[in-house]
Amino acid sequence: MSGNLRSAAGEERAIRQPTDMCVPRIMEFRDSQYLFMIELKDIEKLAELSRINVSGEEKQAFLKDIESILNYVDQIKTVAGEADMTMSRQETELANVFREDKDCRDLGRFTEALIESAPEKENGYIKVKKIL
Amino acid sequence: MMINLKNLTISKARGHLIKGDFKAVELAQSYLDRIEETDQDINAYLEIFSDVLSQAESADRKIAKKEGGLLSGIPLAIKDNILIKGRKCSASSKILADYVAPYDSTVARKLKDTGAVFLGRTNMDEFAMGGSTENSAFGPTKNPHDLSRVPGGSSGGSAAAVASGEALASLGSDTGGSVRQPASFCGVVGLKPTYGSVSRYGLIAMGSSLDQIGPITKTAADAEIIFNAIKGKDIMDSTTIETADLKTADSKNIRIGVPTGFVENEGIDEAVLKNFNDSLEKFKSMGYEVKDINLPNVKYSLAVYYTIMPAEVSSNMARFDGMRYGLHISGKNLIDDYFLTREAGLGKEVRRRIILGAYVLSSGYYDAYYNKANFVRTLIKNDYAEAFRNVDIIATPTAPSPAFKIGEKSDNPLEMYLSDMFTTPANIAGIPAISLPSGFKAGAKNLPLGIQLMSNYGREDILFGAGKDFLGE
Repeated sequence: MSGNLRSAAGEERAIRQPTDMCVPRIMEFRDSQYLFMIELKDIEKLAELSRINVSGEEKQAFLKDIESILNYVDQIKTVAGEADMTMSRQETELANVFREDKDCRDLGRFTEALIESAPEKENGYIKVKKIL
Repeated sequence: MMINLKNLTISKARGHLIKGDFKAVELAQSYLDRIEETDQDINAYLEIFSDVLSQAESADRKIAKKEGGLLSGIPLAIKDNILIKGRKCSASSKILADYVAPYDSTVARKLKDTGAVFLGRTNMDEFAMGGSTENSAFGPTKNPHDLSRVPGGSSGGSAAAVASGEALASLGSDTGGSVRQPASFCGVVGLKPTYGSVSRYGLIAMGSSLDQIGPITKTAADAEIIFNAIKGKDIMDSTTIETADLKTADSKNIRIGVPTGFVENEGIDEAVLKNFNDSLEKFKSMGYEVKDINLPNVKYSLAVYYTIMPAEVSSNMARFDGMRYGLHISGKNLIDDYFLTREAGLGKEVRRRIILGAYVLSSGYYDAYYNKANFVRTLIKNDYAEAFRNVDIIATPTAPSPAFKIGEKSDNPLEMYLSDMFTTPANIAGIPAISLPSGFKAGAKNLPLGIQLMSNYGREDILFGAGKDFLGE
């Protein structure tokens, strides 16, 4: 999959695009600012992955909204620039929290209350439609 | 005695309850009467609990036996995303409209232990996504100072309840300003504690690295009382931290830093800026040192927030599948059930953020957005760490404008997001921040304004100290 790159001067050339997902084409400017062109089919794909139905009218609205939000958040790239992204997880004062895998809670203590919340249940199990 | 709700605070009510000037039942009844009188206009509550008086009776028994804590018999309103066992908790969403909490959140349990009375659950933007309470599936809350305006959000119901005397205090949750901005719009105090100081167990998650439960009150002293009652390490939330006994800030020699370059941007209302500068003068006159500071990366907070938050939203919202709890709409097969349930149950803003989050997390864009946002998040934290070497407090306005009109920004999500510009940095960095009522923008109806004070990790004491000074408590 390839997209078109339009430099500030207006020349077009091919740029590398992510190959493993159907998401927006990028129009890249010389100053490494990106201007995103999202298409309806991208919104459709993302909605499908998110298990959300969107109506035709709403798709158009989401397209416009998400494009303007992405153009706004794009400014983080000017500050992040080409910085070493291995730094992105730098959390020097934080550490993973582990607990012993034992004596945490009584087995089955919450089972009944939790099953009770399920819209469809049978014999202590949550009932769903068949998967395969 | 006649109970004057207008000037009542937690500490005053506590005094009266102990002396026997009135009973918790009478106090609760006064609030129920007030709600009856005004909430039809304000719509702060989604539900008033049917057992308020019996909760109050049990508080009276505790008070008589000198049991319970500082909050015994104190009537509180609880945001509708905080679980209280056996009660509905809908997050103002149709997908959870009839969901009954099977367990207590840690904060609810702690408040129950101290003897607090829960009046009801308050309206909010659906799943806390919004800054106006207009995104509630159950209709907007109105600002008690001007019914044609929003109360702010997402904890708009909690702020409006306190501002209108429909609760003595309330709990909200703050992911990008959702306690502080409505507190500012409604003229009350709102605290977002240090990330990890209050357990999120039983809080319906929105952005898990940003969410924090906090009190909305009339005074800084009341915020301190509630914060002390709900904070602490919790085995059920591994991000909680041990909170040292609150230090008492030395109110002398407190230095306030003002990121002038960040505050004075083109998006700020002139009246807000003037009120902010007047507030700084007031601090100076009380002996606080005020100086200019530079936080070079903080201006990127909103962009970082609107990348990280939707990413976390899209992950957190995946659990609403219609199978285990909440709404279930049956279709022709399992996947159809998911689509139909989520279409019927989730509102527009929620779906917009899920799709945006799915985008910034998608392969090929994860590095371009999510990773870069995390990197800039570190830069922002570093800015604060550096600044807190030289100052004790960093001050900004809480919001760039006073409360806006209902409907004014609902068609433009980006414009709505911009009202979070001063509040998101504290969530990004994880530091505590408080909004204090600082006056009004004069007009046909006077609209409340707020000043925001931020301090270093775990230094809520400095915020309470300065808050009490500022509000003359």
